[in-house]
Amino acid sequence: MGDEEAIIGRVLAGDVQAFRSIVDRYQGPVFRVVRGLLFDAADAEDVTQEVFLTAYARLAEYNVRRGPLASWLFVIARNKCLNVLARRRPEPIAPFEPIDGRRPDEPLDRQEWFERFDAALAALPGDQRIAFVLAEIEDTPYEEIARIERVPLGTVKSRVARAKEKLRQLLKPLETER
Amino acid sequence: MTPRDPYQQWRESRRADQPPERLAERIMQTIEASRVQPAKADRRRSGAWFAPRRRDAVILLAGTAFVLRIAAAFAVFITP
Repeated sequence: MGDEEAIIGRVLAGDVQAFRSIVDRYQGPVFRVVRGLLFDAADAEDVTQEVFLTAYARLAEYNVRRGPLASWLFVIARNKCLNVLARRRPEPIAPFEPIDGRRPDEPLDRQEWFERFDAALAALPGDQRIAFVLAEIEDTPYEEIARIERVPLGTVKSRVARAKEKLRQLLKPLETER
Repeated sequence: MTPRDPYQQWRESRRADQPPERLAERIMQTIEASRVQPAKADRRRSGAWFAPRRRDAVILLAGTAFVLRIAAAFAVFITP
């Protein structure tokens, strides 16, 4: 944390290259969260880039006392993802249709499972998906998610619980396919 | 989460997702090309007299309206 403050100080003093260590440190988590919300690698790449450009331009607004830098970056990422999702045309989601050419008793392979988990996650409401991705993929503490989402802690807990419950229900048909 | 194994595998694979190679480089190149400077968080702290915040704007607007109201009241006496 202390070295981050020093790096931020250097960036604000005009050392652009010092920002590279922030990018190196957080590009992975930011990319994973963005990808978890957008489900499109190309969009995720563009949005991750935008997140860091915005973070650089507004770096002086970051207040270390209000939370870790990762959370601040996640707030920017979340807002940008919501903008992208609002611009997208809603697509009908049909996650559990039988895959062509597969017998009903044939087990799903790894890739098919993953695609169905992604589809089930994409079918969740936005607020639940954000909470789920931050908690389950990035292991972000609930308190931090509450800060990122600006909602009470209890709301985060119930969003994650509801997301898990819905995923369980959405994936139930797969159990019968197994 | 049921079934457990596929879920855990999916979770692990998502956690292992890495950004495309050279993304950091591209980000840095874009930043340098844009010549953007990190903006100051609070202009008042940096010496400027007015921070462009909504609260300040409301206070400024209300103050201006008050001054104009007083000026209008005096204008009645001053006008020949």
